[in-house]
Amino acid sequence: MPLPTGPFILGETMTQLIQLITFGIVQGLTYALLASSFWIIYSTTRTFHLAHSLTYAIAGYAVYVVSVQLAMPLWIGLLASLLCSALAGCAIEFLLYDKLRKRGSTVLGIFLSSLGVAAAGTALLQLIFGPMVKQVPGFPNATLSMGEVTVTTLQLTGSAAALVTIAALYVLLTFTSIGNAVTAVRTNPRLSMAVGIRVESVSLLVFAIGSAMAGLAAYFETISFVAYPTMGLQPVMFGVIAVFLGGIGSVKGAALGGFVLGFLLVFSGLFLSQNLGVILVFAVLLVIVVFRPDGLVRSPIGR
Amino acid sequence: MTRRLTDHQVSRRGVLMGMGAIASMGVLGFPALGFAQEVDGPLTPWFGKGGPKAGAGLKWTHGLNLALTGTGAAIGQVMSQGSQVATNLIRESGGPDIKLALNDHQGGLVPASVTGVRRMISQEGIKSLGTSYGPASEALFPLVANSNITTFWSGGAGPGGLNKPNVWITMALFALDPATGGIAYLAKRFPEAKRLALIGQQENGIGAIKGIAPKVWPQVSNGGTVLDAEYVNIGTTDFSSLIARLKSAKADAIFSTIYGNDQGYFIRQLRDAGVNIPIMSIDLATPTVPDIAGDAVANNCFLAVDGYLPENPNPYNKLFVNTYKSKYGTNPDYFAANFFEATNILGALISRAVAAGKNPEDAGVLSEVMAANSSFPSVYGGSVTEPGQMKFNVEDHSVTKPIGVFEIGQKGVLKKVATITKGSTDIGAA
Repeated sequence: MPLPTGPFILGETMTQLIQLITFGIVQGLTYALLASSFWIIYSTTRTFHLAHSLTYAIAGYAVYVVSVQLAMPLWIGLLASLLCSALAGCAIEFLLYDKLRKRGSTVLGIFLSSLGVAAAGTALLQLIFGPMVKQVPGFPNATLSMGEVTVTTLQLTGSAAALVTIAALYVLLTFTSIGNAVTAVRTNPRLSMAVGIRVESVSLLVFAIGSAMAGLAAYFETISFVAYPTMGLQPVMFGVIAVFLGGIGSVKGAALGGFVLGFLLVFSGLFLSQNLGVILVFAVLLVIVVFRPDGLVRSPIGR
Repeated sequence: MTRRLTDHQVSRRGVLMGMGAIASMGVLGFPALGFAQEVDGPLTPWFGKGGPKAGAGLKWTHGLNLALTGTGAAIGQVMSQGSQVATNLIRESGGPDIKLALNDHQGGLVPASVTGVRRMISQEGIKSLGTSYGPASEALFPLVANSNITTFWSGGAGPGGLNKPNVWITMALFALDPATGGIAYLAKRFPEAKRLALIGQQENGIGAIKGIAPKVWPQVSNGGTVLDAEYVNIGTTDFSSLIARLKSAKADAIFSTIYGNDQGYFIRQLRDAGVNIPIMSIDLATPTVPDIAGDAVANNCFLAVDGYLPENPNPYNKLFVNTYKSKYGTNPDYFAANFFEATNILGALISRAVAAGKNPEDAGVLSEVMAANSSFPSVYGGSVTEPGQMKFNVEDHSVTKPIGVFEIGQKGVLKKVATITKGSTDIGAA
């Protein structure tokens, strides 16, 4: 008997539908967090920050070092993840991108340097920690069942943390003077300088915020599974895709793009085998890029 | 010159006596000299004495094509360590002086594999090769055939390596060899299981999913049914879509050919989702999969494979484990064991070629030597007094070696629960 792949019917497939929606929300929120983290950096500084994947991995190793090697509680590991990823992101901006921009480097030049940092940093992590994966046990994970539909406490915690963080970013950008400064730099950096906004400081700030958000996602991946040098590649790649799927004009667009991407990847299981779900997502991205180049959410500030 | 000879007045008799003396020395002395140079070493009990006739001092560069970075880096590292231990033991035992050259195929990337091996051939002068991964190895076959590089496929090997010139598969064929016995064991151990889910990856093991499982399961499970095969991409870390489908399909058991770290993510998420049905796998990448899966790996998970047990008391294995542990501080695993065996096979082939008066570097010589005697000791199977045996099929270049069914415990510790044979549903005792 084949696994159910046909149209939705009541009964066993209803369980599957609810389970897919549950898993889809969990995955969608994770990608929404990653997309938002990449978006705030890209939309403010126009830096295609592929070394975000390195920042992600650094956060994973930070929780390993603090909570396993130094035997500290997991919440201190969380702080270490956020701090280390923020510092790593700022360091890359301050020591590399900022210098390149001042020397008149092109967007492509900065992109290539970012790629180089990602590759070299990953290799360095492997040299320091070895190629073996690093496990961080200790989170009191439990499976919650509602009938046959299940979700774990770790998934719920990670999803809640992602939701709260995205909401906090939205509030920060919409209702605070810091947010106004970021929006100003995002909209017109030269004019921002003219009115006294320190663009370099804003750039550092968005790198710190975006990197810490990636660090949060990495923290939950590490305590769920393991840390390893290339752990950031796939999540950041999907985060980048999600930004362009949702639209680069606002955090709402990026977050929605991430959520739709994650949700579709999982929910496609209702109709398709898992390996075909990725193809579906890229097909959707292609359609959106062709017919709605601004993404799902149009930019409120124009281009 | 003529003048000088005349001055020394060398007589014909003197010359003849001198020649006779030299001939006597040759007849009597050389065998004694050769005998004196035979070397006993740690591998002698299974590979014979070392020395000039075993290729002692012969310089040989052996390439290793492994994942040294990327997600499979941990596996590549232990593979190279297994080979390194073998080269040291071969040297100590009076065999050839094998130096290792490394290429990183970056977790199975074909361009990195082909370019790197080409570089090792042209610049480092490798004369043989050990390789791992499916596509990254298969892409090399034309190259090693043209360059006369004897190649041992010792990781992720599949049927694509059968009947290929210069290619020898040193491990049970991925998924194919253990599939029949593994599925038969599932049916015997869980007689109530009727609905078998099949999960695999398109890149490797597809013959087991499409060919063997649908044929064997109905036979061994008294009319059980096989659910449609599900495939996942290599590198998948989120299996939620698949798990939702499995739950809905009410599968009773799973036969999985997922390999590498992906298996750890799958097992962990499946158990987190409250699905506790038995899983029969054919790959367990230690220690990464047990680390990723955590406690879930010890919940109804089985492995049908030429599974490696460091505690196997066979003396050849004990030598390997002790040497490996003293060098690297930890027990070797399956991947290290396979590369250890393969490198020792290379050493033995070179020694046998030298002993037969042939130049092992000449085209086809190592294959000729293999055809003459294709049996080698194995770290798998065996007994307290004898090593296990592995024998190559010189027609298709596959190997037959002990296969077991193992129950996976905490931290990936394997407990052998049955012995199976390639292509048979017979279940033997552990």
